[in-house]
Amino acid sequence: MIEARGVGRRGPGGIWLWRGLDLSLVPGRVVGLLGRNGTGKTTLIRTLLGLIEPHEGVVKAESKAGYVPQRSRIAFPFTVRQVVNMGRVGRVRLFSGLSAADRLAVDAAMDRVGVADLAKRPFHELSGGERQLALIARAIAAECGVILLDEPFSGLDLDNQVQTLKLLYGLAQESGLGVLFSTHQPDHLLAGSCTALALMRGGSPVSGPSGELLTDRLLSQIYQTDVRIVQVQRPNVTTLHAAPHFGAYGTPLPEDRETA
Amino acid sequence: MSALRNAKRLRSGIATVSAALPGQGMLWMFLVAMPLATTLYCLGCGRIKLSCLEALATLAGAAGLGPLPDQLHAAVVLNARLPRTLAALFAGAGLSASGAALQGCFRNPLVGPQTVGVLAGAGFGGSLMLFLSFGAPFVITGAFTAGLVSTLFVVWLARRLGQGSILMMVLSGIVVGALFAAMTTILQYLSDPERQLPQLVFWLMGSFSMVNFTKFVWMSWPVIIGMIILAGYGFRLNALSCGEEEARSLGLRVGRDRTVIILTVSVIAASVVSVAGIVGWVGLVVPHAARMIVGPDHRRLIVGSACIGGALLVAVDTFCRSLTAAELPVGAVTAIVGAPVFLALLCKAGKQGWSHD
Repeated sequence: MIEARGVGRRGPGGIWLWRGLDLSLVPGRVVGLLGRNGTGKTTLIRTLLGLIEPHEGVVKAESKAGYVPQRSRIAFPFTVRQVVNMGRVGRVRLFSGLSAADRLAVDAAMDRVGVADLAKRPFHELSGGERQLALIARAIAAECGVILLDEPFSGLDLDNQVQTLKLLYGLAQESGLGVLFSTHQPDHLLAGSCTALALMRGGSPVSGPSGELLTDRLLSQIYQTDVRIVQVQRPNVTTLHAAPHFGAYGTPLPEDRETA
Repeated sequence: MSALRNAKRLRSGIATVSAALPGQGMLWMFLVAMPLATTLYCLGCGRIKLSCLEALATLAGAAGLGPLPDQLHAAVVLNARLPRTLAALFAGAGLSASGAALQGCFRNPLVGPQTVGVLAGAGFGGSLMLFLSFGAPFVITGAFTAGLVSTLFVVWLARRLGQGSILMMVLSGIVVGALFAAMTTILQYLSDPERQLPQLVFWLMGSFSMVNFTKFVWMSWPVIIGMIILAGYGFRLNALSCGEEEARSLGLRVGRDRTVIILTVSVIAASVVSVAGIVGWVGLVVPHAARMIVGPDHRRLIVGSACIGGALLVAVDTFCRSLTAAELPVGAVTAIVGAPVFLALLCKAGKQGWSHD
């Protein structure tokens, strides 16, 4: 569990990125973090992880926090298993290797995430989605209570986004992990019942249940552009989506005119 | 029949060891045997040539496991060749293990022991003692002390200027190395050209010609202990090679671990420089070759680098002392061999993919 009370952090030049942040990342809860570029989403995640100190307020971590960076800085051609093994590094003593229990935890983490069949593949040869899964498996292998992911959907195709989102909600609901992820796509928050946390440049963050908090007005305010929530009727369910107004540019192509 | 039985026993023994080291048993047997076989072969190389069996019989005789086969062989092997060959073995192993550890620690495949300024610092310390006409124990002590001081200076500068960041560490190493190299040049300029300068220049070029058993013992203990510590940090080095933030989030105390590794490398490198002068390139090139053979896992890489580096430096030292009547400087030969090999490895590794930003 991670508890943040009245937390604030200044950016370069001493200007507040955000302040007055209150957040409880408890087991089983999913928190989605929204905000424009430069509002300090990554800074907030690093602050919650304890990698940097807040300029005001207190962050308390009662359990180990796993971290999945937006882009891993793994420098050498490790295999996926070797990457997931690293999750156990905090538990392995000097001069000793992985115990049988460590190996079981690594196997379980890879099975849970679905990367067991990639175990022998070099990490740097994986696709973006597979890399994300391997890094999530590494965080699970560390047996952390909460897991923080910095834009886990960036660079993923739609199918991989769906699979990753399903996995994150599954980790919270089935494995009881606290999950916090940042994203530029409000749909990832509207897809399930989670807590939305929106960062406003220089102001206080706002948070609440995603279904209630994410309105046309708030999303337009966050992104400084016209965003509408639309409903889509599907066979068994109605889903909510955030639709930004990208504009209508150019002239219709001849075949479009014929169709019209 | 007896030979057949022995062959069966040997095969069974190999199978047992292979099972203990799953997947790569034969590879590890080869890696461990390589420095031992190279050492044995090189003990027989030189003006008085001995076969491996003769060299082995001489060593066995000296150890009391049999009669000494020949007094001349005993004198050549035990007094002239064994100390320097063992020193080259340990120096190569220590420098290579150090290079592997530093490359993981700095997550940068282009660093070696010279990056943290220790080689230049130790070179200056030893040069100063030679300049002041002190004896061998003082040269060893001076090189060792100055090597450590230069490393501590680099660590202090990096912490002071960049909160211990890798970039600051490497830049501080370059600055401190250049500073000590410049001071060594001034010592060379001021030294007596007839008496001191040749001795000083030859020592700095790197050579095992002056190594005796006493110097070997001086050097070997810090190198052995250092390599054990680095091997113990192998698993942590894997996580450290992912960068500071990931390593910290995985539960490592990055600053403490990095400091221990850098100081250990300094002790190893300073010990080697103190008896053999500056032997460059080994710590940079060998870890790359080892990484291609045993993979990037530092638990294997440290040991693999030590095996390959030890064998390589023994071979280079033997080449230097056997090629001509006058010895070639080891440091120059390692550079001549190391630079093109490093280039070739870079090309190959680039294709295999060091993912590095």
